[in-house]
Amino acid sequence: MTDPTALTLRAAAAAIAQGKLSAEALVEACLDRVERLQPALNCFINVTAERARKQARVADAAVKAGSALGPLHGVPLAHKDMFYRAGEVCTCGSKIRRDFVPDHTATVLARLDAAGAIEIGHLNMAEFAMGPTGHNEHYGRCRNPWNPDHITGGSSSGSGAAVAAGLAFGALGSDTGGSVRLPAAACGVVGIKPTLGRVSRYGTMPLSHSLDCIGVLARSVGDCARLLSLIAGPDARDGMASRRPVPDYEGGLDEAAQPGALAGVMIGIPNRYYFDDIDPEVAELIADSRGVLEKRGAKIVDVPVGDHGALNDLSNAVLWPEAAGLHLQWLRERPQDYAKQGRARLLVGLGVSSTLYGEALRARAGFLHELLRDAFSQCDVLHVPVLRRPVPTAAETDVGGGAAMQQVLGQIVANTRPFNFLGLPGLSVPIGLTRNGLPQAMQLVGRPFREDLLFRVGAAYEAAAGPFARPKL
Amino acid sequence: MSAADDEELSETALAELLTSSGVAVTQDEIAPIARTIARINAAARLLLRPSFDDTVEAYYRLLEQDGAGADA
Repeated sequence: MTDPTALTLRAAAAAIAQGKLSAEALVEACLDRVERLQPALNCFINVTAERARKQARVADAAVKAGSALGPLHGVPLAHKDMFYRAGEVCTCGSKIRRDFVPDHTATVLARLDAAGAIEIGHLNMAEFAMGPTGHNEHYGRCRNPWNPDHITGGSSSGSGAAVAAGLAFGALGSDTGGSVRLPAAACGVVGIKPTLGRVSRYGTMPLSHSLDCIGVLARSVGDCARLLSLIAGPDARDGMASRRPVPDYEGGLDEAAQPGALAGVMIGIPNRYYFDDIDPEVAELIADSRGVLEKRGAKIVDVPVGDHGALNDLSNAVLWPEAAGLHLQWLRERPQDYAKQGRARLLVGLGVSSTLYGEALRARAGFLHELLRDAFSQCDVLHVPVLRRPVPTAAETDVGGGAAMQQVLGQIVANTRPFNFLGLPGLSVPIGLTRNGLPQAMQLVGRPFREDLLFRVGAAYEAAAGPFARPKL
Repeated sequence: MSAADDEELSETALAELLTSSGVAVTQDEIAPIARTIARINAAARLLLRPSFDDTVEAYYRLLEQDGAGADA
């Protein structure tokens, strides 16, 4: 096997289970790549190499002993540095928590451990998951593997970059306004933000309890399906986790790869907002991706949506007051320890009226009902771009904490944030490169808890378009 | 922290509001915050008309109920 890091997660797991590849060799291949690329990409805050090597030896012994193996047995993963593991520092990308050692382990990590995954380190992220670009004043900017001058997207910046660069086979991220889908799109990997409540948040850093979702990033739709199937589901330690059983997300993906697999699937194109001022290059790629789905049997229909631009602004009336409440003590006592951009966002939360916050939360049911009634009565899946413009350079987004910053950041999250407000699942799938050499992605959005359908449509696209290119590193 | 949502706060009033929460702010931070809050308030005026019986719980119920429909 020439380069085992080029395998998909599912192929790597199968190779280990069949004894064709050792976990130790795979972990070493990833760690070698981390050592070579970390100076250029800055994906990791902490590499847990020795623990990973030890786990790999144990994993190989289990294969030799003929033990029962989990679906991720021996597969190297790395996660955004906001998932608590008892006894291990978790910085949350911040100066304030530089030395924070949690006393409990996140449910999502425990579930991946139980499936046999090997964690090789903690990944870079925006400070307290508060920015969509990948900037981090405390640990340095994470850089895009396709071109280090460009942003990775955020806040799960390290998750997008590390998976794209082949440093890990998959990564956990969190998505409060686009933080899984944006780095997935900008780095050319697949990412899913599940339905609100689909995945337990126990043991994860909170930002906004009404909006936070834990998601995954990987190099194929099938890999994401496997990861989500393992972390999703009820959790007695998270009272807001849905009790709904988890479908077999991987089941049906092989059939989805067949020609005509999308017969009967209606793909909805919103009739307003999501394509406003779209860059022509992005529009062309999105139209091409729509054409691919159509050739696979899907029917394309225009569907009405409400004023999602205003909805986008309104989500700030929920996100920032909740975040400011969490951070209030530190804002009082350690204001100098926040980066300027993060602090500016939190201060917005202090200025939003509490009655407005309450009203925005109460109004969510009406907005969701409207979209289900008007759009999802005519289609199964919405199809929109993740970003409306080519991935910007870091310099284009490095604009301090003023009005210009708010405008640029507003553009980046314009197509992701409304779906956080509505709580709907969204899958980001890469669809090509713009002339600047950076990836672009389509976003498939479904009804509540229809992640299975998003994976099916994504897999059909992937089968038709072929595996997405990897950056030359 | 609370402020009337049907009136735009002046930058001075906003600075006082933030300071009253115990957080020190500088004058140059206030203008961009005020602009963002004004945009949020504008969206709210346009969109927010929940009825007396619209509750936060109704949203979570709708998510779960629609999901149950999808299972069927």
